[in-house]
Amino acid sequence: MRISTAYPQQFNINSMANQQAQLTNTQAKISSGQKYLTPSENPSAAAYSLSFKESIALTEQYQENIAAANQRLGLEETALANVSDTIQRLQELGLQGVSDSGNSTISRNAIASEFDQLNDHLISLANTRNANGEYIFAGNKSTTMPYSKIAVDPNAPATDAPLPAFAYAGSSMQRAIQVGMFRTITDGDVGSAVFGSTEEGESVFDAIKNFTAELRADKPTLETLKKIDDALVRVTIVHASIGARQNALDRQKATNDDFIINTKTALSNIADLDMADAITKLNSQQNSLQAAQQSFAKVQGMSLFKFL
Amino acid sequence: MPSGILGTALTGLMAFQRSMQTTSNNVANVNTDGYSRQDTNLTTNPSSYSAGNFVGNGVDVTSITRNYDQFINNNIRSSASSLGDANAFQAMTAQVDNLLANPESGMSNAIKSFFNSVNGVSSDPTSLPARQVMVSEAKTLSTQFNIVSSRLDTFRAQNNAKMQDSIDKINSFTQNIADLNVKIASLTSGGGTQSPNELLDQRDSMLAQLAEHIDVATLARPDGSIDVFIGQGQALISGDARSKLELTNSTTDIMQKTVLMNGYDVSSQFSSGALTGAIKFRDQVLDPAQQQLGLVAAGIGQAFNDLHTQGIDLNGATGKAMFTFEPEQIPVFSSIGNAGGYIKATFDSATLNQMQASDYRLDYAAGSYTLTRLSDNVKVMLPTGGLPTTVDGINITQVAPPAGTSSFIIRPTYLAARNINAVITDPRAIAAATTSGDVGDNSNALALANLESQGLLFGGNTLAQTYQVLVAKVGSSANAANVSLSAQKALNNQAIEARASFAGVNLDEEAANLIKFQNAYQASSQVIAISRSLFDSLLGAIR
Repeated sequence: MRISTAYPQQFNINSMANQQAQLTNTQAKISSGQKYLTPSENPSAAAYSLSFKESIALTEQYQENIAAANQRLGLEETALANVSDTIQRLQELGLQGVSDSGNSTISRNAIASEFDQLNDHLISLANTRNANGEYIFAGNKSTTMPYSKIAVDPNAPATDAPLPAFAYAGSSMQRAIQVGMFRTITDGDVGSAVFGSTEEGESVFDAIKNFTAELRADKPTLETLKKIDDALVRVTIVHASIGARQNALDRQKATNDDFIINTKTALSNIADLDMADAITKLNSQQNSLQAAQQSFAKVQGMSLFKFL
Repeated sequence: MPSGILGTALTGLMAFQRSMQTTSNNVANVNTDGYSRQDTNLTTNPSSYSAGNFVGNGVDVTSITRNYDQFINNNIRSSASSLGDANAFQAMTAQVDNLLANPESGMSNAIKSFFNSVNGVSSDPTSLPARQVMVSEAKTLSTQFNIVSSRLDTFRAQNNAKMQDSIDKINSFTQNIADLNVKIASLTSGGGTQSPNELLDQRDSMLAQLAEHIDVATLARPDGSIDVFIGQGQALISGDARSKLELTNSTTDIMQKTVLMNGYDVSSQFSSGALTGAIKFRDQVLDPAQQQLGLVAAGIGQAFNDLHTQGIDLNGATGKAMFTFEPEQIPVFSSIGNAGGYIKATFDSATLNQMQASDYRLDYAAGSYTLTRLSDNVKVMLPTGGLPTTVDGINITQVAPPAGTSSFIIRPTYLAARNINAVITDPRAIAAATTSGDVGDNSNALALANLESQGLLFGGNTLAQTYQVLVAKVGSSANAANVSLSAQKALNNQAIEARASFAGVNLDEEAANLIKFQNAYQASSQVIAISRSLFDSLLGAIR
């Protein structure tokens, strides 16, 4: 076969340039650690890796939401533990006050004073605020103080009906937080569910206030004290539900962690470079480029004109 | 005609001198592009009849011809056209591919960060810092849409410049080829067998360069000139006459360029070459990419606004639109020559998931409208009353009827990414709540955050998936372009190699020829020397 002198030279130069381009490409992959530098190298892997990254980011956001919810439920739990202790103390004192033996008007008055103190303490617990300054028992009206004591006019005639001293000013709605693709969890409880609602005259503060009044009048009743017991039952139920939610959050967190790890593994499989493979490739590309350069230099020196 | 030993030897001297000159010309042009190896063709001189015998009269140079093969040259041209096509398409597509896939320059990071910030507000709705982050991220998102869209516009400008460049080159090559036609015809038409080899080589290489930009067919004329055609026989060059191509704005669509030849649209008349590659890039990659990107922008903007305007902000007021599309939601372009008329179009929230990444053409004739979806050229059914109507997620209304036949281009998605803008700047204006006065209410923010994972858009795709479809589509186009480019390079190389082995110069061969002609030349010189000594001995005999 006849060949021209100029073409093979150009051809060799082109093919060396090609090999150089491949070498550069492999080198760029090694330095970036990416299996594919552009989506065109593997369009479906590119689409998958975008969608994997997106799922990972979303799930990581859920993990942050879980941390926030956990922190808030933890705060609520501390407050409720304190509330339980306080109510238990009230029960003890209340039983003491109801029993006839050894009780004088004076000692009932002393118990009544302690009841007032403990009621104030309970109200301050019901108005607990979180780090953002939000009232944790106010539901969605989180910047409104849920319970405030309405001062009773000391000069009011005794015959007047007692004023509703405690009103719940919060919302009956509690916000939910997204913690998984299809899962939301409420990050607290509204005050009316924990302490009872004022509208029904059922709040624990009203019960305490009423019992205190009975103590002062020297005729405490078990019926009124029973209302305080009911309040403890409500608190215990809510307390248990917080535990349940914290457990659920822990499980969701573990599920999310698993999902993130699995997705990252899948992402790594399609998007991360196999270093050993790439370095082997780099070596072989380097060898073949060198071989091409050497043979080019040799062949180019050959010409019949040298012998003329 | 010289005769006798001396005369015959002289013809040999002249013939081999000419042969060596041709060889030396071949050697000199060993690296000249488009040069065809030349041969000196020798024939014997007519013999003379003398004393009952035919006596030979030496050799004559009949012609110097170039090694030319029509088939090989046609192959070079057609492979150059396919290569030019693949080259233009690949170079532009690769740029779009890089832009969209890069997490920094594409949309994925911006979409992700934006929804993260919405999640931040949903888990902490009273926090002003969280709200401020969301306001900033919304602005970043809309700005990123604008940036990506403007990068696509830059590619469009580049592509248009390349089309203009191709057309300028085509015009200049056709001028040169027509000029060469004239010269070749004048040298050839005098009859005779001599061919202007250099001019023919020049014309062939110009034809090959022309073919890089537009695919052509050629037809040789008896006078040596050639006619060049595009498409179904539109003559680009006919002898010394030529047609001029020009690039102009389309009359139906002011944002589109068309190729005219002698005033007629010939955009669809060629099927390969760089000009075709550029048009293909525009129609198959750039426009769909711009529309798909716009679909994501329109989807985010509209879906977000719908929910946001149902919520309550931190001041207790009803939420306002988070995003706007300026100057208008859906731009409608009137074609040149329309008889008035005013058409308006808006997004339809209820059927957002039917919106497609396509433009639409609304034609008005004889009192009725027809609507064509341009991505697949499908006629969309309009209700019997015509307008107003809601199709494919858009509302179309007639504000004023045209006075006569008119057409409008409706672009729901094409400009959405360019026009989207986040307009809320006050962090308190984010409507995270659904109940007035409940500042800690996050229910609307939760719903907004959930937009991220809902199949809001065409085909039940989420916003991010719709963007991924775009990345995958452009990626596959770029992949196909790479494959076809390397295939076309190989084919073109084969054609060039075929030509090189047929018409290229081989120095070893020329060296061997040189020896051959030198020997013959020396032999002829020897004959002259011998004839001189014969003459001398004759003179000596009579002295």
